[in-house]
Amino acid sequence: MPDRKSIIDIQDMRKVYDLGTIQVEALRGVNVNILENDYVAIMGPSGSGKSTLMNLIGCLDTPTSGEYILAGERVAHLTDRQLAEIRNRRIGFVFQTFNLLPRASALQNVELPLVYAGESPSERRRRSKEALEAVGLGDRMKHKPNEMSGGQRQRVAIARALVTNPSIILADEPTGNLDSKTGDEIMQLFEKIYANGNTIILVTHEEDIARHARRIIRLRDGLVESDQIVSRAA
Amino acid sequence: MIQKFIRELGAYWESFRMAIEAMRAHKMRAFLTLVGVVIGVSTIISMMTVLGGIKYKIDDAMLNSLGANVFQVQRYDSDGGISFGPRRRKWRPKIEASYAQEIKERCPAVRAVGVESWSFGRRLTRGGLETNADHSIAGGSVEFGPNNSRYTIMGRPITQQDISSARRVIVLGYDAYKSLYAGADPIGTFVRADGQKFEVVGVFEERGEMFGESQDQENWIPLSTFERIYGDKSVNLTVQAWDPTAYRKAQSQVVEAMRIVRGLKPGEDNNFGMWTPDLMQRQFTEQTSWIGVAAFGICGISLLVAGIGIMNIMLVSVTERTREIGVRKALGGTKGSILRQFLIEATTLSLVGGAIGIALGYGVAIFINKNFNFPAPVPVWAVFLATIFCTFVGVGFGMWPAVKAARLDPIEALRYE
Repeated sequence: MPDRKSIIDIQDMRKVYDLGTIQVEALRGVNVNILENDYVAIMGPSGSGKSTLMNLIGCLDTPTSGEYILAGERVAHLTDRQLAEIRNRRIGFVFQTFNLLPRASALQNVELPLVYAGESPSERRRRSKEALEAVGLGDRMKHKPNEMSGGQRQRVAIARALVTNPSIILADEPTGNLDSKTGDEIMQLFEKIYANGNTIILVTHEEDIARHARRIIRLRDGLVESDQIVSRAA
Repeated sequence: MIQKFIRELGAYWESFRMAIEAMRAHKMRAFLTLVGVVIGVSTIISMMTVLGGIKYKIDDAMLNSLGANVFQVQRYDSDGGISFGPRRRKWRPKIEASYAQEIKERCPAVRAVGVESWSFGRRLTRGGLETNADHSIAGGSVEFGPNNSRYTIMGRPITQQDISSARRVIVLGYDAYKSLYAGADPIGTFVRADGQKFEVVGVFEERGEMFGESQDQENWIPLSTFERIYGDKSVNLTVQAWDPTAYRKAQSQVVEAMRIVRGLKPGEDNNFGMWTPDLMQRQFTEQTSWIGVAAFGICGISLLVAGIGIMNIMLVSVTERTREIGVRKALGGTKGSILRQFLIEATTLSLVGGAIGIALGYGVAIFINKNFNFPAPVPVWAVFLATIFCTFVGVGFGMWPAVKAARLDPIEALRYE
């Protein structure tokens, strides 16, 4: 795969939390390189720095030191405002608890990132409909989250993550609140999104889920413990 | 540039839509929060509308109380009909009927001077019929009619000849005509008042009520006849200027003439009173200004309380929606956009309260004014002011919760249970 561009380049990333009396080193020099159209699972026990790394990759936080280049942009030391803009443009979040706005319809939920991107209402509508159709919810656009099943809600959330056409989809335990059958369906949807050329980063502690990815990065004590290609059963 | 503006506008509209959505989701809570705003705004609107109605009525009545370009010289200063506490009056000499001639000679801006003398609390009778004892009898010169803008609808006014020969004739007020004649032709018949018999020569047209008091209980007899019956009382002089431009000049000329007639030295106070139609308006405005101040006080206090209520509810809302704020930030919402959203929510809340308050206050005012038969003009400035107040309350008291929301750390907010 010689022509694939690097989409995430993390160099010697450190994150220290200052808790007043003690300082906690959550990341102690992490190096990660993720290419375009990669499908990566990040794993690790609690306290391994998995969540910290995810927040940093998602531009929700800035590292204490180190470099982070996201799609060619240095984003390690940007301001709040710039980070918000990067998140909007580059990252599609999928959360364990879906995190849809309860009072808004599926369509309005999917439109939200486009509102912050400053798209016109007609453009928002068009792209949101497309995204909902892509996740198989073309007939549920007017439904509110409480009128939908867990699987459907997560599909709305995935549509919301896809609608801005971001550089990466960052999914945090996306099947954690779903039964295994629905979870499988969601993982198949990710497979499809991956096949369409998207880059997916999956944060999970479930071995079964992680095996859907093409590559697994394991963290332990704030360092990368292993980084291996998943062998696909032929 | 224009595109950016439209985009901005779109963002505001989006925030407004979400604010309405949030209110609909918590109707009871929104309503309770709004009570303060509603009370404050409706108080000021209803008070101002009622005062406006009363003032309109007074203006109307005052414009018609005297004829065009007429003012009055009287013994004591007028208290405008509305007064509080005991009155202390320094004794003053009577106004004599003879001053009329002096004023006319000394004041070029004056066209005519009428003389009238009053006896109040009289009862008129005819056969077995009688009026109540609230009628008044005015002895007047021929100017009485025009200078008080009273015109006869039947018969004729008092003439110079009636006065010269002190005839026992009377022009009835509309009330006396109604209660003594009930539609029959009164001209040439006789009524009695204070033991005297008068021939009815005319009837004044109806003027209606003001503040629940009839304006049609004034009856006119010749000045000379009046003086024979009731004695030589202090009179009122009704002075008519040539035209509106001469009105003020006529007033100062009359003051000067009166001072000369009275032999007042420079620096001495006037020992006579002047009354102009706008005086009562001015006095009304002065005496009701405290009502306005009180209304603003009530409004201010309830808006303060309402503002604290809004702040409280917005703080609750921010806490409840911590996760939502986290999601919005993750999806690209900036501090500014979150701040704006919560400020617009607070302001929308406050403005909806203001709108209800304006409607309610206006409703109350219409109800009150209907009962008193006043018009209820919409006080546009009060509506405008209330809207601005509500906006300030929304922005002012919504600021802290909005800042709190904007400052939330997205990671913490997303983790919030």
